[in-house]
Amino acid sequence: MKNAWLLALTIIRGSSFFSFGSDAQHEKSKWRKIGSTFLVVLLFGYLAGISGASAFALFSILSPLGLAALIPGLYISSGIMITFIFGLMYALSVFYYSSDVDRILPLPLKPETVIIAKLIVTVSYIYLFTASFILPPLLVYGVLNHTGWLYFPTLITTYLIMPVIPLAIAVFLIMIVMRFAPLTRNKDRFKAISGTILLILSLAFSYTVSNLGSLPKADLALLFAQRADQIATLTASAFPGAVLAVQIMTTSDPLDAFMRLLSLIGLSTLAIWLLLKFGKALYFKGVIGLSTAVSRRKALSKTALGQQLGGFTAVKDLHQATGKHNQLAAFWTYALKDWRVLYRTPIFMINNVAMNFLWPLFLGLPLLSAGSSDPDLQQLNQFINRLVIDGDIQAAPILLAVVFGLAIFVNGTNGIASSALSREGSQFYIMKILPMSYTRQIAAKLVVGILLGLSGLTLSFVMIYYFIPLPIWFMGLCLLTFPGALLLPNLAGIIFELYWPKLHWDNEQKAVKQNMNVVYVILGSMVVAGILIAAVAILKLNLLSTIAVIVVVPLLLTSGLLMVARRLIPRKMREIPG
Amino acid sequence: MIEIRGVSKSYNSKIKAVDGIDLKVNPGEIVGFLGPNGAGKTTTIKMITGILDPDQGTILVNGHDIVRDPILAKQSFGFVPDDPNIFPRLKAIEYLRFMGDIYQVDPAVRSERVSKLAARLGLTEALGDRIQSFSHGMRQKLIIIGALIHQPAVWILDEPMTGLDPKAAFELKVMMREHADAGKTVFFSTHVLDVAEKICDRVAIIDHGHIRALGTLTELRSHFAADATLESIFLDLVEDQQS
Ligand SMILES: Nc1ncnc2c1ncn2[C@@H]1O[C@H](COP(=O)(O)OP(=O)(O)OP(=O)(O)O)[C@@H](O)[C@H]1O
Ligand SMILES: [Mg+2]
Repeated sequence: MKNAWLLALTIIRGSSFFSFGSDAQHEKSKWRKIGSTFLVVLLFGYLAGISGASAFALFSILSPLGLAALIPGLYISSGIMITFIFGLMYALSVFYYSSDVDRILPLPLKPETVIIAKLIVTVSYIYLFTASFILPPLLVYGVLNHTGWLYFPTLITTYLIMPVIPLAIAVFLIMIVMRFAPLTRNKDRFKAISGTILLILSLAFSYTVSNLGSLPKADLALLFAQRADQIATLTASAFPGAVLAVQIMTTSDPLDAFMRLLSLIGLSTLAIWLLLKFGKALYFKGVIGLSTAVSRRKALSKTALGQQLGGFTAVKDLHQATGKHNQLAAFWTYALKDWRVLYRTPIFMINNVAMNFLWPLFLGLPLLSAGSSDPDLQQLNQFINRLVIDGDIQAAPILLAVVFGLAIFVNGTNGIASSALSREGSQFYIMKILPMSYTRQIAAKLVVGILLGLSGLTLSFVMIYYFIPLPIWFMGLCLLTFPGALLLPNLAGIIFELYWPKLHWDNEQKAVKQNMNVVYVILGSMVVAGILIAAVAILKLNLLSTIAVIVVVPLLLTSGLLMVARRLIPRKMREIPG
Repeated sequence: MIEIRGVSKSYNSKIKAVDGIDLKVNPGEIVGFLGPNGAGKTTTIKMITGILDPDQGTILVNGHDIVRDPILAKQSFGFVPDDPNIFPRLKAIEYLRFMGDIYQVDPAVRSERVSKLAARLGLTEALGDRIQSFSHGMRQKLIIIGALIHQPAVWILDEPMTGLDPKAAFELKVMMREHADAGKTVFFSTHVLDVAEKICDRVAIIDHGHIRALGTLTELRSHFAADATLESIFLDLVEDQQS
């Protein structure tokens, strides 16, 4: 057990779960470190604030109807569901895909020890996660409902024990899948597929949650009672002990709560014991022999070799004509290399590529579902109707601003430019030895980001056009907003990267998911979008001034950034140690 | 040709990893770069190849200043780093095409060059596979092929023999000799003194960022015993410094 704790601590320390910083931070500026920690805490507090506030709102709705007692049950059952879903994801990455696996396997440790250590790691991630989701609402409820002080220690104990059973089940399922399913042999493909599915699930989840918030109050109470019931039944039937956990939080008899708590602890211990007993046979067998790539080891035929080495055929003739093509071919080869790395690396595929196409879907769906009851969306729909049906030009400015806002947001979140250098990692030095100017190399990287962003925008554009017959002139105006929306976040991203690249990572995830540059650009795009939309809405700008604000201002900003980047790139690239 | 003049570099502005070294590698010459761990070999090579900027001094590769004229200088050398990890998610053939395009090699001659090099080093079978599936030595071989695809005048190799099988190591030595005999330049670091003794025209021994000795084996021997091996000279020089 002592070994397990030690191992768990080492894994958590090594994983730098909280290190969002760039390389430079490790060496110098304390302020930046404090800054990014502050930002993470802020984000965490924000989530906790939202979920706490939602409980507050729920209480005020349900309390007059005498349904307030449903709240703890709902949150506990949802907590169990969330633990299970995220448990699947965390179990996969902590138990199987983490880079420490290779280093732990040769250690003289019993499988049980490794499993316990990894369980500790996984459950701490779960605690963190549920601490912002489950704890605040239940605390709010406890205060509002005057439940007495015993409620709070009970809550903390339940919160600590509740994840054990669903997590044990998730880990066990993953172990079985990894042991027997042939699909999982190809690490990369499996990662990409499972990651995308989970991303879609969590987006769908947040979408339904946000939709719930927009229902009228009476309906909401009814729907809420129904949902609470559904979730409770579901979790109760899927996870042993779920009923106990809910009852602990809802019963008014302390002795009863205590007895049930004891039984829950007993059940959880049993779950862990069973997991260890069966897991030790499954885990090592499943984790050994995970391969990352298939290899055929078959020589290429002479013609195949010639073809595959043969430069860009489309521009080959140009070569004879001008002799200038070589540089063009070099440029596109460089972009192609970046694109290949991007879509073949699961983490990049999910975060940087799939994002471009998922966001438009998730932002667009509520718009298209006509019956939405969200007041903001209804208002937006009104604007659309005014424009489409009444041909009212007055509706155009605000719509144009919204289109621009969405476009810049989607491009900001794909994080391609804002992780362009960080993704190179230890291979950054290659950028320095190639006989191609840094400006050109970075331009090639930007082209990849811009083209992907453009594909996402085009998809949304076609979709919108298909569902909403917006006037052609308006669609034309939308097109005009794209250059700014595409270039601004991409250029800003590259500039952040030049200052604070994050090259020292052992796990690709850290280059994109724990990269402050990505966060800065996302926040930045939201702020720019927010300011411009607000300007149009509040100042009630007419169409011409709107075009000036939405099209011209971003382009001016863009050319400013372009000038900055051109000056920065050669200097900064030389300064970054390879 | 490589010319290093008065070059210094420190990582933390306290200790100089490389301290005012001068070194000239002439055309038609193989120069071996020897020295204990942490002596400054990789640091020097990183400065020659433009990965690090020197704090002081100038470096010319094939007559081009690596700081002021980087593109021309980079075009003229092929570099094999000490760590052979490159783009794991590309296929070997994709990597080679990448190098061919970037170094602007005529597409017509690529396949012949690649198949020749691959056959000599023994990598033909694996060219269609992802680099991810390669062993350390296979990656090393691929990088060598990629570095030589544009037939650079200057070869710069950081511990190229580590991880190569005997046949490939032998071929690489022969290739280095051929290259130098054709009037070109080879500069490589190594810890294998036997290799250095056999194929180098001259050796440079670096320790604590200073060049301790530079010359042909015969020249070095003239300062030591006439029958001294490179090993005994090396140990002598390095030990002197440490005491
Ligand atoms: N990135 C770095 N940051 C700080 N110091 C470094 C860095 N890289 C090397 N050094 C220091 O510079 C000195 C020279 O290192 P270098 O890598 O050039 O040695 P080397 O001769 O190549 O050694 P080896 O034979 O082990 O490869 C050492 O003292 C090393 O600690
Ligand atoms: Mg070295």
